[in-house]
Amino acid sequence: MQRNESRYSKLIRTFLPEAWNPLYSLGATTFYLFWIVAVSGLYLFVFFETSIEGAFDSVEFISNEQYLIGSIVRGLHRYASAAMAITVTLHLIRELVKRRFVGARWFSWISGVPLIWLLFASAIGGYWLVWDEKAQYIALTTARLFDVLPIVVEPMAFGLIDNATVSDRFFSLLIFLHVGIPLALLLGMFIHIKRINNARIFPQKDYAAWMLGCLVVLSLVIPATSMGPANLDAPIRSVEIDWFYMNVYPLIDIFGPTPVWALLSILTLALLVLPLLVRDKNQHLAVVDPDFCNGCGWCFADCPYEAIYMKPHDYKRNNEQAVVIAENCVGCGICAGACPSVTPFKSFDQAKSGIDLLDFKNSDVLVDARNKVAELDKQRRILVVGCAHGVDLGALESEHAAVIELECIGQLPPSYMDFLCRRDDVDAVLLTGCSSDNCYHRLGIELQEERLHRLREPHLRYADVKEKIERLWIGKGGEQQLAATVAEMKRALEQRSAEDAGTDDKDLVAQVLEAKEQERENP
Amino acid sequence: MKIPEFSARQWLALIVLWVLLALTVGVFSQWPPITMLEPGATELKLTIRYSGKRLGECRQMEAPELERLPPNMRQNLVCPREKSPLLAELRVNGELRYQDTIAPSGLHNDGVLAAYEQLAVPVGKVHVSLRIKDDERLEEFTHEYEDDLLLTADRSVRLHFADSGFTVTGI
Repeated sequence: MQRNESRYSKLIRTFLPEAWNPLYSLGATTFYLFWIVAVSGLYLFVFFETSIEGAFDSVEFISNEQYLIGSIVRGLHRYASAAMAITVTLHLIRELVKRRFVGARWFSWISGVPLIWLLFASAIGGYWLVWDEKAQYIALTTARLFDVLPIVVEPMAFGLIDNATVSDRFFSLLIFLHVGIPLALLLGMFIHIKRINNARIFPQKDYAAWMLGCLVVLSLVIPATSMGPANLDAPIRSVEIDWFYMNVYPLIDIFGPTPVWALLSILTLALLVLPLLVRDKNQHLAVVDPDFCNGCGWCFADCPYEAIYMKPHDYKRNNEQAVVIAENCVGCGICAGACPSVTPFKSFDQAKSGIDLLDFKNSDVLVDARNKVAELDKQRRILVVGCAHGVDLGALESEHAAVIELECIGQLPPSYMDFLCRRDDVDAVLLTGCSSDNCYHRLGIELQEERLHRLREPHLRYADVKEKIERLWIGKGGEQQLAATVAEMKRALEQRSAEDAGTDDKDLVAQVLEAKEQERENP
Repeated sequence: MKIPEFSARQWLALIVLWVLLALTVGVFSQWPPITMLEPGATELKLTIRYSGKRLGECRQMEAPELERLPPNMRQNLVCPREKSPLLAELRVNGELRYQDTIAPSGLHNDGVLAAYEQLAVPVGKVHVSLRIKDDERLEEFTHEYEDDLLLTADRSVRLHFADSGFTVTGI
């Protein structure tokens, strides 16, 4: 699985600008599509008539009598819904493959499962409203599906026997459901991201604009149309199926409602119990040391999973103290990277963090890093810091490069880079791991970048240190590029070393950037 | 709309991706259609709504039994709640097309017995036979309907069984 993902990631990266990779913003894209559906739905609602005669005619009026506007809006409503089915499916598969359902992430996983049902119910309800032959087919087949449930006394299908049995009130009920269920879906979506700090619920603007444009063009090229008007007194000969949302309906026709219920129940149950069945044995846990917690709240602000809150300090007066909610903690270590108490400048022996991973302490990381760089060849000492979920650092260690693997790049306190570079323990630092829009722990890269650029506390203190730090957010599959970057950094260090004897005003970072620029121009 | 700065290769990949996405959405939201009825066939709806036969016999309450009950619940005749399942069997031109045992609704099996079934049948004159057994203790069928129906392609025919008997509509 991992190897395939690497190949796939590499292929995608070759052709697709990272910020435009739809797989990196599936959740945000789904939210965005929801709003397109909601706004277009409001427009359609204005012209929709909730009656047997009026339902079909009003939809036809919207499609054919409004100078393309109605047709486009109807197309947006339908196609954005269909696109939602795709993004939700991909989102589910991606989170499954990346095992983002284990441990503290169970909440988002479990709360996402009912959303699939609500999404399908919302979409299928919309097709009923058109009251064409497709709606007739959906209505009767849905009725058959529900009629096998033991709670149903009188078959729902009896309300759809012939044209005389359907009343205008039926459409009032349908419109109520078609508004109510999506509202429940929206509420569920916000619960779904409840335990996620700084959740992205909107894709980047350019991407969003192009997606909207794409849907508008699609609505013009393949307009959303109705089938013939529903007639319950006549048989339906064929139905244009929406395979995104009506995919179980042919199964109901072939196998009957009971096996379909069994299939859907098993799938739902399997998704719900998955977090119980799979445990992450390597998951870390953050713990607070009240002796060293100064109540700054930076860990609280940075935690991507809402796993930290602040309370009055246990024994320091007028001070606060961080508290970790263990069941929410995924052990990313970003909180440890945000703790100012860990700074080794005050005294290395006392460089204890106010918050740290229980079995992966940052103080041990620093000791490990110093031991490793001490063994490197002098004047070309590169410290590569990566994460456990990004690019593979395995084959990188050499006489010039030491490798440290953290849980997330956000686990690295900026003071460590200040410390190592200012003491001349290393000549250059390369930060790497996941690709920039695809951090496994969501915010690690973003937060570390802000710390390096002094936009966020705790930040890098020395400008000359910043110049020694190179970043390569490459992700899995980028091993070759990583090796090339390290080799390039080594060459630049050698060149600088040689030029130090003479005169040279180029600094390391400028040389690396220049080399990368050349590589981009002549790949 | 801002035009992003991409290489030609990236533009090509993006255009291919967006077109593929749009085509996937546009095409599979209505194609391929499914066929419900082949040419030469029409729809026969079989509906059953029957109050059902009770499995036990009603009996008179004895005086001591009545005395044990609160005054508002004293009634002489008590009947068991549970109803018998109903066996329905439909033949079209002699071919068995539907056979099912319909259980009474409700937690105590004391509710209405109901069924809805859509069947594809040939257009033209067809011989339809519907047999119902409303008491599982009996061997033979209790209600029977048999007739030749002239079916057309553009109308659904409904064969209904209720307490009042059999009805056919849509002819």
